[in-house]
Amino acid sequence: MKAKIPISFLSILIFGFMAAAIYMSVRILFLFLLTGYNPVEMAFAVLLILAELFVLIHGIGYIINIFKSRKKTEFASPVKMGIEPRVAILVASRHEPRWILENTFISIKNLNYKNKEVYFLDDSSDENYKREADGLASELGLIIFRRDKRRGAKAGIINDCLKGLDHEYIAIFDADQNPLPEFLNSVIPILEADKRLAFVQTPQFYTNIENNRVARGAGFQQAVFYEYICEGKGTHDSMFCCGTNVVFRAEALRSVGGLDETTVTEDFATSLKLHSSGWKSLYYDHVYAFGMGPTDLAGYFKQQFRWANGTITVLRRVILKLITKPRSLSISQWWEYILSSSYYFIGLAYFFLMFCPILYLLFRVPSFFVNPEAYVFSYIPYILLSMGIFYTLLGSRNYKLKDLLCGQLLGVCAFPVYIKGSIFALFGLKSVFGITGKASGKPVYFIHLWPQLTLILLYIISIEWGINRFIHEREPAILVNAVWALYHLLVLSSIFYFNQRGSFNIACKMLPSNIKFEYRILNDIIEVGNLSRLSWQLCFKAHFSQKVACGSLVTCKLYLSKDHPIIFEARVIDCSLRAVRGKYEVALGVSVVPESDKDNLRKLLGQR
Amino acid sequence: MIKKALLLSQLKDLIENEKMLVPLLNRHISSALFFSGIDTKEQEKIKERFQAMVLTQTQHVEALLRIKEDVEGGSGDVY
Repeated sequence: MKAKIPISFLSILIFGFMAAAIYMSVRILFLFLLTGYNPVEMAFAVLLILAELFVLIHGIGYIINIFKSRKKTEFASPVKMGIEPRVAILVASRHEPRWILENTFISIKNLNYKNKEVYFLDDSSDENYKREADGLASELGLIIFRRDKRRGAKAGIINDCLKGLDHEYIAIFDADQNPLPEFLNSVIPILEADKRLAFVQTPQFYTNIENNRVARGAGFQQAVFYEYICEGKGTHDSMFCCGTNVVFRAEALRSVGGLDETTVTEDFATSLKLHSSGWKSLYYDHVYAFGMGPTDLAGYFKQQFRWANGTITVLRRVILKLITKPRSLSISQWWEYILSSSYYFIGLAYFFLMFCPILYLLFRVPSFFVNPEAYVFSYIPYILLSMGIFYTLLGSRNYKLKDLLCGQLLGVCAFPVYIKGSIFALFGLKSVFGITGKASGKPVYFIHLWPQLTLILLYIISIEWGINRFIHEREPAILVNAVWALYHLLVLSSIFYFNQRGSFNIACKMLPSNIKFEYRILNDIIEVGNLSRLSWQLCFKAHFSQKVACGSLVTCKLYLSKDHPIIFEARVIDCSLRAVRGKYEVALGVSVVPESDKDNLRKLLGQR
Repeated sequence: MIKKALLLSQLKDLIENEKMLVPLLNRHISSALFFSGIDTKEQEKIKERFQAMVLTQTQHVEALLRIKEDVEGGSGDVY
C-alpha cells in the first residue's frame, strides 16, 4: 500500500527541515554564546540539548527512510515453482499454552507449499508442557526437537536444531505467529531470484488490537516501524531480521555460525554479522502472518526491556566494528545500524525532556536557554511541522491520529524500561526484567510504576508551585515551563489508561432481570484473553451464584416464553472477583446458537 | 481411489482445519480491516459476512464428521 508523496508534501518536508534547523540553531546559539550559566545549569542545558538532538537525528532518519521507501523494489513474482526448494519451518517455544501453539501449527501446516517440514522446538522444562507438546506434535504430524542442555534461549535451540538440517531455507516463526497460506509461495521465489540474499523479512501484525489497549498501542508502534522505516531500510540492504516471519537462506545462516546467542536480540546481532559478511537482506512489505501483541503493561515492558537491552548491546559492537572495520558496511548501512541500535536511548531523552520543567519550576534551573519569546517562536513551527509530517504520512496509509497517539503515549510510559535496558546493556549487566507472574490482560501493581507515578506527583507539585511563582514573579518563562509540565503530566497519566483490565466486556449489556436464565458450567476451559469480540456472536452479562473461571464453557438456557427456551453455548469472557449480595457478575460470549433462534436471542438481549 | 486409513487421516485433517483455521483466519483478517481505511459501517458489513462464513464452517464440520463416521463404520477399504 505504497502511496506517492505529493509535491505539496515535499515542500512541507523542506519547511520542516528549515524549522528544525532554525530551532536547534537558536537553542545552541543562546546556550553557548548568550547566557551566563553556572556549571550545574550548563550541565543540564547540555543534557537537554543532547536529548533534543537525539530526537531530531532520529526524526531525520525517519524522513530519509520515507525518501528511500519511494524507490520501488522489484520482487520476484509469487509463481508456482517447478521444484520447490526444501524449507524447514522452525517454531521455538518454552512453556507456551497449547491453544497458542495449536493456532500457530495449524496455520503452518496449511501453508500451500509442499516441500516443507515443520519443526517444533520445545524448550520447556516443565513436564506438563512437554506432554502437551508431544500430544500436539503427534496430532498434527510435527517433528519435535528437544535438547539436553539449555543454552542461548531461542537462538540456542534454533542453532542446535540447525546442525541436523540440510534444507535450503529456514523459516522462523514465533510461537504466536499465524502465517497465511501463501507465505512461502511468495517469499521463496524472492530468495531463489537472488543468491546473495540472506533473508527476507515480512511484517509483524498484531490482531488483538480491538479489545486491548496495550496491544493496540504496541500494534501501532509496530505499524510505524514496519511502514516507512522498514521499507526504507529494505531498499539499501539495511533491513535487519526481526526474529519471526522471516525466511533465511540456510547457507547464509551457517556461514556466520548460526544465530548470535550472545544477546537477547539475536535477530538484530545476526543481521549485523550477515551484512558485514557481504550478504544482502530484503523487507517484503506484505502482511503474511498475524500475531498477538502484549496484552498488559507487564508483558509490554518485558518485551521493550528485551529489545532495548539487546539492541544497545549490539550498538557497542556496531561502534567497535565501525572503528576496526569501517569498510565492512556501506555508509547507508552504518547509518541505519547506528540509528536502530541507539534508538532505545529515547528513554533517557524522554526523561531529560520531561524532567527539565520540574527543575525550572521547583529549583529555578533554566530549561529553555533562550528568552521565552525566541523559544516559543522557534519551537512552535518546528513541532507543528514535524508532527504534521509524521501524522500526514501515516494518515495517507489510513492510520488515524488517535491510534498513532495511543502508540506514542504507550512508548513514553515505557521510558523507565528503556533507561534500565540501555544502562544494563551499556555496562554489560545481566538482568531479567522484574515484573513477572501476572496473568494475561491484568493490571500491574502501582509499585512497579513508581518512576511514572513519581514524575506525575512532581508535575502536580511543580505546576502548583509554578502558578504561585508566576503570581509573584510575573516571569513568562514560568508559564512556558508550567505548560510543559502540564503537557507531560497529561502524557504520563495515560499510564492509568493502559494499566487496566482488558476492556472486553464493556459493550456487553446486563441480561434484563425479568428474563429467566439457567446455566450449567462445563469442565472445559480455554484462554479467551486474546480473542477478539468477533469470536462471539453476541455477548451479555448475567449474575452467577458461584465464581467461575474465565474461558469456561457454559450451556445456557434463556426463556423466550414459558414453553420456549433458547439453548446455546457461551464462554465466560470476564468474571467479577468478588460477589455482591452473593452474586458474581459474569460476561458471556455466545459461541454456538441455533440459526433459528439467533434473531430471538438478539431481541431478548436487546442487541441488533 | 483411496485407502480407508488415508481417507480417514485426510478427513481428520480437514475437520481440524475447518474447526480451527477458518475462525482463526477470520479473526485475524477481521482485525486487519481496522487498518484498511474502509468506512466503519462497511467494515461491520464485511465482518458480518466473515461471521456468516464461520457459521457455514460449523455446518461443514458436521458434514465432515458424518462422512468420517460413515467411513469408519463402513466395511470397504478402498473408496
